[in-house]
Amino acid sequence: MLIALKTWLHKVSPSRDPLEAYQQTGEDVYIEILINTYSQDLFHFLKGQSDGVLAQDICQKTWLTVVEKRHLYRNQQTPKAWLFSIARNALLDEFKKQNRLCALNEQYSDAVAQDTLENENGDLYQAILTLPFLQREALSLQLEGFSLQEIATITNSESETIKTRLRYAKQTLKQRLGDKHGE
Amino acid sequence: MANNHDFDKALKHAYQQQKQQHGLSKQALEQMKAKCRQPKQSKIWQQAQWAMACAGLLFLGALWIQPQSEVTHLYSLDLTQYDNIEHHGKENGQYTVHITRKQKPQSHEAIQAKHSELLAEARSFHGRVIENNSEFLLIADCKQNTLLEIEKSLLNDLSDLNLDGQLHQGELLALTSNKKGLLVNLTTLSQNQGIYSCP
Repeated sequence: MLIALKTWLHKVSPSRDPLEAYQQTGEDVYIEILINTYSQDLFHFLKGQSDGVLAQDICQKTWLTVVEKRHLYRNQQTPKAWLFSIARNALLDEFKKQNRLCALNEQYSDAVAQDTLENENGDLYQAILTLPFLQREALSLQLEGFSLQEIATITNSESETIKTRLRYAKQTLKQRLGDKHGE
Repeated sequence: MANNHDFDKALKHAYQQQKQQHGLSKQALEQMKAKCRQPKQSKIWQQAQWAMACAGLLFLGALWIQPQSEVTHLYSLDLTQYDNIEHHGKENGQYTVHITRKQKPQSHEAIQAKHSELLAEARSFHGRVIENNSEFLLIADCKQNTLLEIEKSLLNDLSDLNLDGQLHQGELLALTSNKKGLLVNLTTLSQNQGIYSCP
């Protein structure tokens, strides 16, 4: 009850970065706010790069890393960008373990086969999932609302590289969707 | 250009719609929160372990320091405890002994008699080191209320041992004196015979 009230009070004052507050105090209430705020975004991004089970697993790992390494958070980054960096690194580590990293450039999402999408939006999303990993990653991050610079930071790449990946991704999507509608 | 903008909008819409339809369940979120709370509990346990380890070290430290302070306290020099103080030293290369008595209302004869009694016979006795400084070694006789003050220069003649480095406060010694009251031998007891209290 008290925790719920505290959570509500913190929600009322959104000016404070909950990640910064968690870094300073270590109180559970802040990690709960962070989980409530960003888990869906993280999970959806990770699911787009892998599959539901692995995405949930990496999501959990991300939060545990936040708990463990909260002192490494710097205010120059937005909390969301920092969380996505952690999540992406955890995902790549998992790929390394599974020897899936070598094929990143050509890898397509496992989610494609699993989700049956019926409407036009579904087709569009399905088309996103068929993109190569790095293009899909850049596009997903852009659709999450990150700027070019933030995507470059999260993916440890140059901004120009990200621009190119996004351009190719969108060209491919247009082409595929055009072909599909043309059939 | 407008086409690109519409396409971006459609992509975003498709992405957000999927996110809403295939998000994490409430149960999964709660599970994540619960797991994130656990490390904190173990941190408290870790802190408790550290605290206990520190307390243990402090306890051991206190045990280590305490006996030394007790020894210092037990065998500290208190001249009021002794009736006689014997000063053993050298005067012009000759071994001399002077006995000082605590001032008591006694006749000159009685003092002389006591003095003679003290020096009457050769004896072996035990004493405990009270102080060992650069000039003197102070030894308290175990049985009689006598304090022996021995000059360091004389001490080297009395014993073959390197007594300077060996003698610590509270250490037991075996001493032998001749009929003139002069010390003829001095050895440590504790190390050789395992004796740690006055026999």
